[in-house]
Amino acid sequence: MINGVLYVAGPFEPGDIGQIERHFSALLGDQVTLKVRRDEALIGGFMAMVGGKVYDASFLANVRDIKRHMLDKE
Amino acid sequence: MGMDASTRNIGAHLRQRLESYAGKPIVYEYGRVVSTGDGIVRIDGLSHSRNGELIAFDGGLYGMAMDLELGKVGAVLLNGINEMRVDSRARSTGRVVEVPVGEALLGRVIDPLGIPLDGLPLHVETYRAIEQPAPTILDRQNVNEPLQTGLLAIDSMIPIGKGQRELIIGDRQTGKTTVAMDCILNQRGKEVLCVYVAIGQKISTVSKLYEQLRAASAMDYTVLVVATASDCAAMQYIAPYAGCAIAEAFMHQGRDVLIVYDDLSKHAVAYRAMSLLLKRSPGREAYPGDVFYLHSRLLERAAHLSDALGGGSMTALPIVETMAGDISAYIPTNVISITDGQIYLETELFHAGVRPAVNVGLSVSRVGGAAQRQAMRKVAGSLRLTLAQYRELQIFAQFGSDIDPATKKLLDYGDRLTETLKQHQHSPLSLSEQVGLLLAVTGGALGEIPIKSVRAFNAELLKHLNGVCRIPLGEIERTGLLSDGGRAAIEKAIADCVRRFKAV
Repeated sequence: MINGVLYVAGPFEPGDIGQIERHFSALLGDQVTLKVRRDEALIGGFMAMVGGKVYDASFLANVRDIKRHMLDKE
Repeated sequence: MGMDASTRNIGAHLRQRLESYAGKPIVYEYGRVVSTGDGIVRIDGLSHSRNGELIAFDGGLYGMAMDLELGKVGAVLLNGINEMRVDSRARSTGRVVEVPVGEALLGRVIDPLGIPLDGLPLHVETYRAIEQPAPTILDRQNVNEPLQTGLLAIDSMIPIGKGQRELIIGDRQTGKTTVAMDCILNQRGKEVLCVYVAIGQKISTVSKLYEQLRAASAMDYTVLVVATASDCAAMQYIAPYAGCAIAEAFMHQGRDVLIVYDDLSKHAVAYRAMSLLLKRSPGREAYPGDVFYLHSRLLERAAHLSDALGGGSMTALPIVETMAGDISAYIPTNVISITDGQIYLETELFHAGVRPAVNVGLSVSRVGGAAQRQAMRKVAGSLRLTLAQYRELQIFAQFGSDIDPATKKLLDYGDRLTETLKQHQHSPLSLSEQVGLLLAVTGGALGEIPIKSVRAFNAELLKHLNGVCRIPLGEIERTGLLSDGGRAAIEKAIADCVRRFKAV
């Protein structure tokens, strides 16, 4: 059993949380249970901290990545 | 960002860049801070961290991984020591500590992470890891080009070459930093870039040094890397490596660089503090077992690169402070065994008015004549031996007994030579001026000048030579050679000056 934390920006359906847990369970090969916490700084999406890794699918992380891409030399 | 000529419209350009964006999953390792104190952080997790890796914490704090254990990492904080909280998240950045490098740093004062301290923004494109392997044997060539310090006592008897490591060692307040600063000031117009690394010094001292460099327009070719006494031990630890990386970047472009580490004693103390807090086993004088490696891997990066690699060089002037003149203490002996020679500054000489207070007997340059121009070699060859004989005979003279004429002659010569080697600070002498002065003293011309007037005479002589001997002096500067004709012209000018000085 692996415990983790799921940071979400806004309200998520319980079904969505369950889907995310099933996805990580398949990825890590073990039952994953996520504690849900709100973090509006993420703007949208979610960030999961599980199994010693961060899986960042938040809008904030995407915006930062786009900024880095825009400022990189072609 | 480059712009295609057909996309002048910024909106169209931004749309183009956005369309080329391919988002990828953002996945990275994280850990949790389980304890923090005295700038040391213990992190649970981060099992794939590398030694020296940059760790990012919540709130914009950064640290460096120093202790790697199974399931735990010990890191030293580089900033925000008072802001770190237990249970903060820690993330591996995947890169080691880096510092910005390049021409944009010239004239700037920065901290070891590259953050400007002079209040102006810094725009750089290139970064370099602070830890780099030293050039290999085949990457180097011999040290064969002189680095002029502008100090007669050093350029004549303890010559430094480009690519050499020459230690400046002495007690507190003996002029170590002044020697290094004069060396930096003398590089003006010589295509040598300078990096001065201040480690653990007072902010007021660094501020004074900065003003001196600025007033002499030396900041045009100098970078100041500063980790003062109020910075944490980790910043003082990485400061010399950061400075070295900046200098190395220039060296690999084929340029000549001078780097001063002021001072490595404080650097060792900062490393000791960090190691004790990381619970590493203390060794001799409580220093960790790898304190030799701390300095050897730093100083080995100074080199004269082969022509295939651009022929650039990095000359290192590390400074070490001794206590009560004890050069056999732990850190001094370590650094002496690493470097290619040392300039030993003595308190007694300093207080006796001999400045720079160089003890010629205990100072050495292992590169020696290979780092001297032929003109200097011709006139300075016997100086060390003469001064050694003079020092021995001085002891007899103190007894006040009758002295035979030959001994008196040597003592008088030694006194005048010592007076000639004295030099005001921030008054570097060119090679030709040094050769002129040495011709005057070794040729016996100063025998007719009272000892008390030797310095005044030498000042007059330099003015005279720069007036009437411009051609032979210029030839020495250009070619580094002292021709017979040039020597004769200079000796004639010296004799004229002596006549004029005595007549006054």
